[in-house]
Amino acid sequence: MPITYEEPVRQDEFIPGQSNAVGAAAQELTRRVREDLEKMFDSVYRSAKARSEHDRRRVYALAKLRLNWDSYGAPAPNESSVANAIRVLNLLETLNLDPTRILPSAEGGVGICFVRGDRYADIECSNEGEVLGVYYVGEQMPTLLETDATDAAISAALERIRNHIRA
Amino acid sequence: MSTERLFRRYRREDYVDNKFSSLGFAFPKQSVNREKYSAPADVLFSATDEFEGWGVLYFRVQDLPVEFPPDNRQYTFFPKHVPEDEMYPHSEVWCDRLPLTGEYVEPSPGVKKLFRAFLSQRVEIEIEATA
Repeated sequence: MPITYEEPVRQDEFIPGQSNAVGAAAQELTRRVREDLEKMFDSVYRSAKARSEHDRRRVYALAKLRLNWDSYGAPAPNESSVANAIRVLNLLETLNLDPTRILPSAEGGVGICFVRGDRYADIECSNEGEVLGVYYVGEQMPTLLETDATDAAISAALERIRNHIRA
Repeated sequence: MSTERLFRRYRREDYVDNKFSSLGFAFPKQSVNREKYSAPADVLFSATDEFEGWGVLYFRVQDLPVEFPPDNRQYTFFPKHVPEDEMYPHSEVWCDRLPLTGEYVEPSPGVKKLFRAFLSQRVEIEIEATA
C-alpha cells in the first residue's frame, strides 16, 4: 500500500495569546473592571470588619453596666462572660453569621441574639462561665443547646443556630 | 388554670425584631405584680420617674408550666404572692421539683435556660416601651 503525503492544513486564524497588543480601549476596560472588583471586595471586607468591631465594642460596653441595670437586681456582666462573648464573636466570623443584637442577660452575663422572621436563637455567656444556647420557631417548644464552653462545642452550637436561622 | 395576669416592666431593647428575648428574664424568683391587686402601670411607679419610657409586659398564671420540661418532667413552676412593704401585689415565679418538696428548688442551668425561653414566647405587651 503506497504511502501518500498530505500537506498539513494551514490555520490562517491566529490563536489569541497572552499579549498586550489588544488595544488601549480593551486594556482600559480590563483595568476598570479589576479596580471595581477590588473596591467591591474591599468594601464587603471592610463592612464585615466594621460590624465585627462594633459588636466587640458593644460587649465591652456592657461590662460597664451598673448592678441592678434592669431594676430587678440584675448583676453586670463580669470578666468571664465578656471573655466568652468575645470568643463567641470570633467563632461567628468563621461562620459568616451576624448577630441581630447583643444584650446583657438579666441572669448576669452577655447574650448574643439572632432573629429572622419567626425564628429566634440566642447564645448566652453567663457570669458563672457557662455558655448555653436556645432556638425556636414561633411558639414551638424551644430547643436547648448545651456546651462545655470549649471552642469546638460553641462552634457546633453556632452551626446549629446558623442552620436554624437560615432554614 | 388561672388567667390572672402577672405584670413586669421591660426595656425596649429586650424586644428584638418584635420578639421578647428571654435574656430579659431572670431566675430564680422572678419578680412580678399580681393583676388581682394592681394595675399594670403600678410596676412603673417611681417617685423619681426612674422608669420613664419603660414598658409593661405580662404573662398569665396558666402560662407557667405545671410539668417541665415536657420530655423529662422534673420541675413545676408556679406564682407565689410575696407582698412587700410598699408593694402589696409583689409576687415571684417559683420552682419546685416533682414530686413536690414544698420548698423552692433551683432548676439546672439547662432547664432554667429552656424555661426562660418558653416563658418569653408567651409574653404580651400591656404598655409599650418608648425608650
